[in-house]
Amino acid sequence: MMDKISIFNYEAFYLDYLEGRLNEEDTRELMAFFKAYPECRLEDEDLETFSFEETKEVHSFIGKESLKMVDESDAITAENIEHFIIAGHEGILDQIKKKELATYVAEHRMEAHQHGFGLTYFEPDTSIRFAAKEELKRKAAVVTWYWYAAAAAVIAFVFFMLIPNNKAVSLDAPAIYADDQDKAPEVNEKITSKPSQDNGQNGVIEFRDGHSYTETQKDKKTSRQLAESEREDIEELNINRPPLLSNGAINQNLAPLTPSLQSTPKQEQELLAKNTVTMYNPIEPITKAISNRTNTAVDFKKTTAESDRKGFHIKIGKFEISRNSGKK
Amino acid sequence: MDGCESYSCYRLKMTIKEYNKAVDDYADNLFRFALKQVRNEMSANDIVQETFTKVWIKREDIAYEKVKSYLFTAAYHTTIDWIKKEKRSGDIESANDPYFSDSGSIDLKEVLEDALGRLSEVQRSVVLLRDYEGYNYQEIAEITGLNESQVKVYIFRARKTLQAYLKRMDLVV
Repeated sequence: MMDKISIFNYEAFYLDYLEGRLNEEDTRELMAFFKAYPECRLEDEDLETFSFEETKEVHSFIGKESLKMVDESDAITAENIEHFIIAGHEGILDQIKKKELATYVAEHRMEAHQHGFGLTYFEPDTSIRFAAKEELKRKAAVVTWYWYAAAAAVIAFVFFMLIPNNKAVSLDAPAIYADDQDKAPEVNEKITSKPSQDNGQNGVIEFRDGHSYTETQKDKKTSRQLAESEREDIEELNINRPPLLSNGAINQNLAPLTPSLQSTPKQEQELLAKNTVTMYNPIEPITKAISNRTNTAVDFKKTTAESDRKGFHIKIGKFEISRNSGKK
Repeated sequence: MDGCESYSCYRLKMTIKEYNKAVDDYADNLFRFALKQVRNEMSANDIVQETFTKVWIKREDIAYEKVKSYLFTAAYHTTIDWIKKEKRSGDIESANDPYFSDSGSIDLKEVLEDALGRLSEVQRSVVLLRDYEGYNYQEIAEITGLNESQVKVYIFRARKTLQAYLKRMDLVV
């Protein structure tokens, strides 16, 4: 008969034996086995350390103390002295606590400890600099006056080059009248008669229709700025005139080419219906290029050849000029 | 008191001139702040550039009077994001060993720099904002998104850690 307990399986029986769970028969067999193989049996001192009791490991958080908060109104003690030393360096202690801290440090000879915390402060190294600062900067889309001047000069040049028959700016053009243009010169003469007295000292602007307007150096007046007396004179002459395009008859030449129909009297609307004014930009690539280059809205429009009236419109940023030189 | 301490009193929409002045005034500070955190000049450069880009995009909502705080807030978050990303990729440089001068004596400043590298990102940030820029706890709280008490706790713990490190290096008692 083969032995129940052998060198190959004795450990399982031995463990049951040590735990007190081995029956009598198996215990006898195990003891017989140990007589045959004494080296397999544990020494007594080994058995003393052999315990099946649950190992009681100590799990404690070593940083527990550091998590505790310090009440700064408490008295300074050995437990919270570091907090008060740091608070002292941070400059957040009131005068009373400062004195208490100084006393405590002196009494306990902790000056060196206090100094040690003072060394934990950093000072910026000003020799370290950001090299690519200039690359970060943004270039302002600054349009200096000479850019405006250049843009205006280009537009003006192109304008006069492209429109050989362009009428010069006329302050007294008769286009304001629906008909009866032959009477218009009377008005024009009236307007121009006054400044002509100063011809000797003032510049004279001559227009293609033979009329002229004298512009004083001291007091340059546009039609919008005509003196009241001049306006009265004009109104007298206009008593029997056909209806005007707008209430400001004299100013009509300077009005934008897209008149507002809302306030236009019926007759004026009929007249406007007859007068088709279409505009286009003959130098669009140039104005676009200037716009892009200067980051400012630049536009130029002129009336088409088929248009009933002549005029142009220039826009540079917020600055806009519109001129209507009357019927062609 | 002029009654204009609230944010709404400030004129918004920073001009280009003001933005460029902010570059002049704060780029170096931001660079030092980022460099101490990431310990890599190129990365610090990137962080500064990214920070100013964020500010430029948001310039219409930022008053010049508040730009410094905004810059450091943006730099702080950019830096923390950078560190997290680098940690994930495993590319972040480990803290350098303490430097020793040729004479063999320990350089306190360099040891302190090394100690700084051993702090957590948040602790390092609040200490640098405090020491480099002189921000108070409330301002640091606004920049980092922490509350004032947390900032104080982080700073105090950082000081203790730094002091303990110096002590270990026999630099302090």
